[in-house]
Amino acid sequence: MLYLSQILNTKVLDSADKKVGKLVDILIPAENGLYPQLNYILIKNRKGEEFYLSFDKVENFSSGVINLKTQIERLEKITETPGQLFLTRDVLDQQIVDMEGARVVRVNDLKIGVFNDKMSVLGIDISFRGILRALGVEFFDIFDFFKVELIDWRNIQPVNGHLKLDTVAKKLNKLHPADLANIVEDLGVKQASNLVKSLDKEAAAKVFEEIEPNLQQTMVRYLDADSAIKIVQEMPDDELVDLVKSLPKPEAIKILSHLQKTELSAVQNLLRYSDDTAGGLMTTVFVSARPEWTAEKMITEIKNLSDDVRILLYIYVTKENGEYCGSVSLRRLITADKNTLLQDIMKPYNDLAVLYLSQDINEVIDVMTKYNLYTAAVLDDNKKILGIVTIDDVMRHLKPNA
Amino acid sequence: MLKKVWLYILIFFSLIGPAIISGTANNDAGGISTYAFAGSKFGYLLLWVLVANLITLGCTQEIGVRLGIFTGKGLASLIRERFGIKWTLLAILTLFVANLAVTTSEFAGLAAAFELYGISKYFTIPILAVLIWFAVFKGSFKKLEKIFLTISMFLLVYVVSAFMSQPDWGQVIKSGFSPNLPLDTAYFFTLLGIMGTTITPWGQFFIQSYVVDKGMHPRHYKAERIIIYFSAFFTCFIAAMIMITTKNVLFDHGLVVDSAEKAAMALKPFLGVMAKNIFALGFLAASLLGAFILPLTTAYSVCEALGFEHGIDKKMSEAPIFYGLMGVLIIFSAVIILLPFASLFKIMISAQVLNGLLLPIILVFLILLLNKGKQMGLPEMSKKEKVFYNIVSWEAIVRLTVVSFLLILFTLAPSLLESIKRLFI
Repeated sequence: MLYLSQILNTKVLDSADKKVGKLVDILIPAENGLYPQLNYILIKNRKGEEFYLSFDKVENFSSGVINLKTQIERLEKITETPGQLFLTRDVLDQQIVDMEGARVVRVNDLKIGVFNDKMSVLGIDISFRGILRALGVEFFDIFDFFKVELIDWRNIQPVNGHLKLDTVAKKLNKLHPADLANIVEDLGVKQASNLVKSLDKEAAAKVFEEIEPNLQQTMVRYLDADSAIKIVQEMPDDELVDLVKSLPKPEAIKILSHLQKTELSAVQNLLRYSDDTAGGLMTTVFVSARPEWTAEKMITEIKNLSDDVRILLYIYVTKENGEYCGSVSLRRLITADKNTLLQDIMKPYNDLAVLYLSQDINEVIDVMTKYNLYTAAVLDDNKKILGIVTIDDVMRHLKPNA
Repeated sequence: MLKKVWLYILIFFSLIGPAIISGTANNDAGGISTYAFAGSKFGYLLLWVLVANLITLGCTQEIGVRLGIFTGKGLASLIRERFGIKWTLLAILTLFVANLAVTTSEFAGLAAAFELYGISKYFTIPILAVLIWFAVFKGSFKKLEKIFLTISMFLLVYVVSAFMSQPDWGQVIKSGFSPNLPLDTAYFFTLLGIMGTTITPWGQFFIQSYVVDKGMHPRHYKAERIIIYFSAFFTCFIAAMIMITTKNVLFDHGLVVDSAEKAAMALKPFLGVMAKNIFALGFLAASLLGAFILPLTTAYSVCEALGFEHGIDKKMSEAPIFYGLMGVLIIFSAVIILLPFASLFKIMISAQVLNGLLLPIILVFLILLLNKGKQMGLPEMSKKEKVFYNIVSWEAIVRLTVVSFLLILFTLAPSLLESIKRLFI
C-alpha cells in the first residue's frame, strides 16, 4: 500500500541504477470503471525536460526509489498520451464528487495498491491526516488522533481536468435528484451550472427543484437564457411559480415570456396567490374526470396522460363546469370492475376534507395531518377545483433546509 | 429623449452606487485611525501613498474579480489547486495571522467607540463578543449588513470637513505626486500601515469569494471592472479626505491623534458638538461590519483550502472546524482587547502594519495565478494588460517588502539608522 504523496518526487533509476529523473505525475485512463490501473508515469530529468514512460517499464515502484526494467538509452520516451487523467494535475488537491456521501470533497492524498495484479488507484484520502502526510509531517500525530478517511475510487467522480461532461453526467444521473442537488450546492455556481446543463432537461429540472432557493436564483441568472428556460419549463408549475416570484423582475419576465401559452396562464394564475396560502402552495397539474366515465375509460385516460403528472394518488371527479364532486383513489379504481362508473366508486365531496384558496399554510398543514392526506383539492368559493396541494410542498415548509 | 438620458443616469448610478458603498465601507475603524494618525503626524507627506494605492488596489482587486469570474473558484481554492498543499499552508497561515490582527483591530474599534462615552471595555467587549458570535452563527448578520453599510456612509462627512478646513489644494496635489522616503522609523511604520489597511490580504480573498458566490458570469466582467475601479477610487478618496482634514485641523496646531477622542476632534469644525456622536456611531458601525465579516471570511477561506465542510447554511455538527475557527478569532480578539495594558489605538494601527508586512506574500500568489491564468480557463490577456498587471503588482510587492525590511531593520537596530543618517547628512 502506497500513497501518492509518498511517491511523488521519488528518484527514478534505470536497470543499471543510473538516474533517469524524478517522478512528477502518474497517468490513468480517463474513463473510469473499476480501480484504474496506472498507465504512464511522467518523469522530469535534471535538465528540466518532461517525458512519459509506459508503466510496463517499471520494475519496482516504492516510496524510496523507482527502478525501471530497461537502460536509460533504450527508453522509449512518449510525448503524446491522449485520454489520460493526471493524478497530480487533475485529482490531487482538487475537489471531487463523493457519490456515496452526495457531497463535494477535497483530495488530500491518493491511495495506490495492487488490484488484479496491476498497480491501480484504490481510493482517495480526504482526512486531515492526509494533509499531514502530504506535508511530510505525519509523525506529528503520535497518538493517532486523526484517522485516515478513505473514499473508494469507484464512488468518486472527478469534475476537473480533461473529462468529458457527458460521461460525468451519465454517472451522476444514477443519483437521486435530492443528492445531486446537495452536490450542486457544494460546487461553485460555475461548476454547478456546467453540471446541471450536462444533465438531460427532465433530470436537470428535478435537481433544480431541490436546490435551495438562493442558489436557484443565482443559477438562473448565471445560466444562459436558453438553458435556464429549458430547465425551468420542466419544473412543475407550483415550483416554477415560487422561483419566478423570487427572481428580480427582468429575469422573471424573461422566463415568463418564453413559456407556452397554456403553461403561462397556469403560472400567471398561481402568481396571484400569496406564498403561504393553499393557493400559493398548490399545483394545477392533477388528473380530473367526469362522474359518468367508466373505470376502464379512466385507466386508458391515465395511460395516455403525459409525464407531467408527478403524483397520482387520486382522481378528482368534477362536473362539466369544474365543480368538484368527489375523488376516486387509485386503489379503488384498479380494483373496480371495468364497467363501473366513477360516480359509484368515488368518495363524495361531503365526506372529504378540502382546502380553500386563501387558507393559511398552518391550516393546510393541520387539515392534511389530521386527515392523513397525501394530496388535497383546493377549491374556490364556487366549489370549483383549481389545483391540489401535495404533501411534499407541505413538508418543505415544515423543514425548509432538508 | 429625456427618457433615454434618465436611463443613462440610472445605469450610471446603479454601477456607481455599489462602488461608493463598497469603496467607503472598505475604510474600517483601523483605516480611519491610521489615516487620521498619518495626517496629524506627517501632514501631507504620506498623500502620495494613497495615489499609488489607488492604482494598486484597483489592479489587485480586478485580478481577484477576473480570477473569480472566470474560474468560479475562491482564491484559497485556486492556491490549493495550483500550488499544492505546502504553499497553501503558507498562504493560509499568512491570511490567518493577518486576519487575527484585523479582527482584533475591529474589536478595538468597538471598545474605543464606547469608551468615547466612558463605557468600559470590560463591560462592552464580552457582551459584543457573544452578540457577534450569535449573529454570525445564526447568519442574521446578512440582514444587519445593509444597516451598517448605510451608517458607514458617515465617512462622507470627511469630504465636507476636508473642504471646510480650507486646504491649499495646490499643495495637496503636489504632495500627492511627490513620493518620498525619509529615514524615519515612524514614517515607515505609518506608510506600511496605510498600505496594509487599504490593500488587505482578507480583502483579496473576500472580493474573489464575493464574485463567485454572487454567481457572476464572464458577461458581467466589464461592468464589475468599472465598479472595482470606482470603488478603489472612493476608498482612497475618503482616505485622502481624512488625511487632509486631520492635517489642517490637527497637524497645523501640533496635535497628533493617539486616541479615538482626538480623531473625533478633527470633525469639530464641521459638526460642532455633534462631532463626537457622529464619529462614535460611524466608528461603531464600521467596526461591527468588520467584526462580522472577518471571522466568517477567514474560516471560509481556511476550510475551503483544506477541504473542511464550511458555510453558514451548515449545522455546527456538520462543520465543527468552520465554526470553531470563527470562535477562535472572536475569543482571541476579545481577550487581547481586555488585557489591562492594551492601548486600543496602538492595537488598531499595529494591526494594519502587520497586514502590510504579510500582504506581499498574498500578492505574489495572486500575480502568479494570473500569469498561469490560461490553464485555468481565463481569457488570454493582451500584452498591454499583462504588462500593466505585472508592473503594478510587482511594484507593490517590492514597495511593501522594502519598507517592511527597512522597518524591521531599523526597529531592531536603531543605531544603524543613526549611523546611516550621519553618513548622508
